[in-house]
Amino acid sequence: MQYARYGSDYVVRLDEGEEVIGSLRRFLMEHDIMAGYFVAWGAFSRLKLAYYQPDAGEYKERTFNQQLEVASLLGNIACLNGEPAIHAHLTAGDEEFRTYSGHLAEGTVRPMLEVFVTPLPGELHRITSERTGLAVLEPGLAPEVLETIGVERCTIP
Amino acid sequence: MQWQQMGDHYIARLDEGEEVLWTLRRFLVDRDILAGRFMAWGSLAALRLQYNRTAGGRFEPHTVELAGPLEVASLLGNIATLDDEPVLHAHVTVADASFRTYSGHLASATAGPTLEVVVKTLPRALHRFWNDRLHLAVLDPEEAPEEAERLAAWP
Repeated sequence: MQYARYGSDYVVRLDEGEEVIGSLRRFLMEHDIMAGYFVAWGAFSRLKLAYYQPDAGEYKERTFNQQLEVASLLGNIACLNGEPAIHAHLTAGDEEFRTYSGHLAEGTVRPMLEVFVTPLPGELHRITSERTGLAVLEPGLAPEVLETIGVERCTIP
Repeated sequence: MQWQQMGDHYIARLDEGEEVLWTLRRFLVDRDILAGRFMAWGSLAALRLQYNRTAGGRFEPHTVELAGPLEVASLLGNIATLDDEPVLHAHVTVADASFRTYSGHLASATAGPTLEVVVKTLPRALHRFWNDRLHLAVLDPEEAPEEAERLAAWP
């Protein structure tokens, strides 16, 4: 991975073999980025997409063991259990230019993935819903509320 | 809808059953947001996609209804005003249970279990004007006389 800061954004390049979510999370933790969003494009050699089935309350997954071009990859960054969590969705195309889209579960980069990260000021939280088990984005919760329900905060220097 | 301001951005979450464009427009009116761009992803319970066919130099909208649940891979839009009201222009890519993709102009949509939105506001109004010939509300970034005057009058 290579990266540099450009104004308030970071430009990051992931290289062949890197697992996208693990690598990005490590980068965010090392730079204390606990809130923000990113856009990315590049390619994967292996991709696992997920589709949420509200009635079943679970994800259906499909793994693509083939080279895919990322047409669009959009995600946000929020604090979950004291660490930055990534939630991203993407569209990727195969050699026939046919596209597949969904929730990004896993992706192995080949040959690279270019990521532009925009950190945002302040705290943004996800809280795991007891009902669905999903880590729900909870914008706008007051610090007193976070305190009362015992949410683990992300340390921002 | 639940939201939080973070600098010149807003992060929002829409919940199941909320009409996406209507809910976002009401939020923009409440917050007096007249210009910006936004992106969203999550799930939709229903979607009406629009495709404009060209006919004699005019655009004729055709819509198709897609039944949910659908995963939103990308929903990208901008915010401008038309007759002093904020309007949204958004295009969307969604996937069905087989991960097959459908894309087009967002005519209307109902949020699924969660739709996460990132709004970036711009510091002055951006306008659209109705164009009879094209039959479209055309974005006109240079046409902002009041704001230009106001900015020029600033010390």
